[in-house]
Amino acid sequence: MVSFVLFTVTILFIVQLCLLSALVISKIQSLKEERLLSTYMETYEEPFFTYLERKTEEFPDLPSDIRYRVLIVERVLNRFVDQKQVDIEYTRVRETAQKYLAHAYRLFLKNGSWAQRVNTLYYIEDFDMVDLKLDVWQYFNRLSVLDEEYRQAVRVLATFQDERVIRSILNTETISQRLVKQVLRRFKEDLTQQMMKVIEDEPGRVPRQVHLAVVSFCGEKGSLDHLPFVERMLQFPSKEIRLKALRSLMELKACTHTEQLDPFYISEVWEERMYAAKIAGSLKLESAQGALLILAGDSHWWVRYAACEAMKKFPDGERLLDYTYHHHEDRFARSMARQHLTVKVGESI
Amino acid sequence: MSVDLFYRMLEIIGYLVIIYMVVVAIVYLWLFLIASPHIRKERGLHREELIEDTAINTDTFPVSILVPAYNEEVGVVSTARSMLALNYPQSEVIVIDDGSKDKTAEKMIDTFAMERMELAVRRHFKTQDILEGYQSTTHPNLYLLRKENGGKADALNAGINFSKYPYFAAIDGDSILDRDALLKTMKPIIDSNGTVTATGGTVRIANGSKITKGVVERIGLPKQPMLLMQIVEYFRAFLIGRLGLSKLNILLIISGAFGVFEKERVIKAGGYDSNTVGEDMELIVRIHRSLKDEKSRQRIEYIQDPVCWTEAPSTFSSLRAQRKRWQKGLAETLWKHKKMMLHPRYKGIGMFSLPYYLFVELLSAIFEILGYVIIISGVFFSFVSTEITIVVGLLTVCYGSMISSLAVLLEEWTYHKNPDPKSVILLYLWALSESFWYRPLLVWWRCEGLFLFLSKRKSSWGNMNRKGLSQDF
Repeated sequence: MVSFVLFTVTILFIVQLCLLSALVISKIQSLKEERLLSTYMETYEEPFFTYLERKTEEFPDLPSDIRYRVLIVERVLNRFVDQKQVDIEYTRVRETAQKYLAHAYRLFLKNGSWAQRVNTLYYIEDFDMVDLKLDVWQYFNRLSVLDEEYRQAVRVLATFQDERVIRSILNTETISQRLVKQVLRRFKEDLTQQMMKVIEDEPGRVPRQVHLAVVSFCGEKGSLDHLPFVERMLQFPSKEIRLKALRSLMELKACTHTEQLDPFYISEVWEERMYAAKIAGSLKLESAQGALLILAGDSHWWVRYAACEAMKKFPDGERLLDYTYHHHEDRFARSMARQHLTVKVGESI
Repeated sequence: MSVDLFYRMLEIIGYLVIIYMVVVAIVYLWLFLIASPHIRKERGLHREELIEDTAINTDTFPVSILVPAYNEEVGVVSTARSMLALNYPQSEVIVIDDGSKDKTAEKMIDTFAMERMELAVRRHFKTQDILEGYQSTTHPNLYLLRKENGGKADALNAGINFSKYPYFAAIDGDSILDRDALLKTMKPIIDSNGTVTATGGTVRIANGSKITKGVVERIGLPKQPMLLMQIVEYFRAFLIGRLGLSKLNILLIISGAFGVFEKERVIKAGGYDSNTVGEDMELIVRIHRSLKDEKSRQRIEYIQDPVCWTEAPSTFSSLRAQRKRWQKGLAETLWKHKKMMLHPRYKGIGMFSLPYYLFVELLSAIFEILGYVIIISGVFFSFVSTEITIVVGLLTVCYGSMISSLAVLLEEWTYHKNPDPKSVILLYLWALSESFWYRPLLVWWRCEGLFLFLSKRKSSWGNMNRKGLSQDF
């Protein structure tokens, strides 16, 4: 037994030493490579940025070592896109990426590891490499697992305004609300309208998560063009859809007929009462002050919180809260009003 | 008792120790094999790209960050700064001063220009009285609650009562988070549409690293061997065990140093238990229990990214106190939930995870100390046969040193966070020394923790004699 254990431990130790040596050698090499890349970056970043910002027509030279070209261009473009997120002029970014990265990216999508493929998809989107749209679509059709790879492929296609994504979304029952909203954020208005039309015309065909996402997106986008659609959703039998519509209304800070909120102040669903209070606050609805006073004494903490928060948004909010604090019959309402008289809300929180 | 019987007993114990160590090593290997495809798959992934969208997305759930603090005047300001500097769209930071005797609250009030506010706090859980609340005038999303002393769990419960967002992150007063830590940790929750109910990330030791104004600027190694050994120990705990357990959805620990939870689920489970010192693990077990009772499909996940930095005890006395407390907490949790043990209703938790924590994490101290007894009996007194002594000795080295040195290699293979090749070799060599000095100490302290549990003596907040992590004072 001793010799067997000794033999096993020795073998394990030798294997570890080999692994250690390999890791140390690889670390030395990667650090060396990283240092070299940093030097390249120092050399090429500025001329590249000048070119990308159209301050010069001259394309910067690249190192003769072809191994580093893809890495350098990728890093420079990524840094440029990250640093200059606003008002970026994509033509040169796209052209440069197309010239130096497209071939490598096609290979990565075909034969790369999972991590490499996901990274590639992110960069295709970041560099707006619309010429790879067909490659991404073909690649997307091969995916079967709804993981990060799938999600990013959908996002890339949405960025490239690929209509086929709509059909794909409508056929995926398990798609997440968040992903649908990410797609909608990338779509131009006509594609968003297409989605809304399908919801109005054939609500039964639309997966629930897609329906919720579209209603929610309308509020997030803040366009009053979507107000009629959102208001129609207030009548929907599904509680979840109604709640999303109320939230969107709150975000839109608009309501064509404020009477349509009346049933929600006395709804049996506490979330509806809460949103109604919030909308009343964001629209500063004088007619809702009575309802807010009642809601300040609601049985649910969040409704009381929203009601007092809403009161604070009125021009005479302090007076309303002070009145609630001193005269409300409900002690929880008084306590909540007292907190809101001292807490700063609605600023950065 | 005859001498023969004594020898025979030692021999049987020797065989038991051998079987135990071999079985545990196989379990470790199995857990690693479960985790390794996942580690391999994500190698080389540019994680910053993954969270870019999450950082600006309105669907990223708002989070309340709870920082319980007791006598943390040295570190509380840098921790609060680290929380305020997090890259996250919407959050509130709530520091809960649990009746500190030092100037924890005063430091917060002065540094962040805090003003007193009135409170209308919900009471999801009963806690010790909250004495007063403050809100920062410079950072309106920063709050301070001063309450009567009730322990860490009580402080966290008070924080949950006060918090207003649907998710909360519990963070130790001596920890520092990477700027993207909350985004990375919340990502599984967001991506899963809420199917993931709690997440935790890998915790690393910050001693030796350069931290300025609550941000880790350069990763480095401390000089003290005891701290180096703790670094290795954290690698071993997080890399070898937790990822595998998480993949099987049977993870029982989300480190108290940093974890994110769905508030509703924690409220349903009853909040943190103030009667145990292992409140982090106890809560997770209770959440698992409530999920299984409800037949819910929600899960608890662990992310492999190192996202949280914590200050390790730098004196033997504080390390001893910490380990005794951990061991006692583990024993209390296992005892409290003993009915779940080997109960088929609780599936992986009852059939594997709880027995794993009992035999591998809790009782290993007993088996290892028996191993040392066998070695000493064999080498110095010849009570045990040479063969058994050598085998137990070799296995003890294998179990202690070689698994730890493997963890060092794994860490380098997966994250390459070590600053240079010298650090890898240094950590590897120190890991090899583990069985000869560090592990016997740990084993002894863990046994003390077990006795502490058996004696049912009450513990409270641990005193770490902290020096502070950040250079901003």
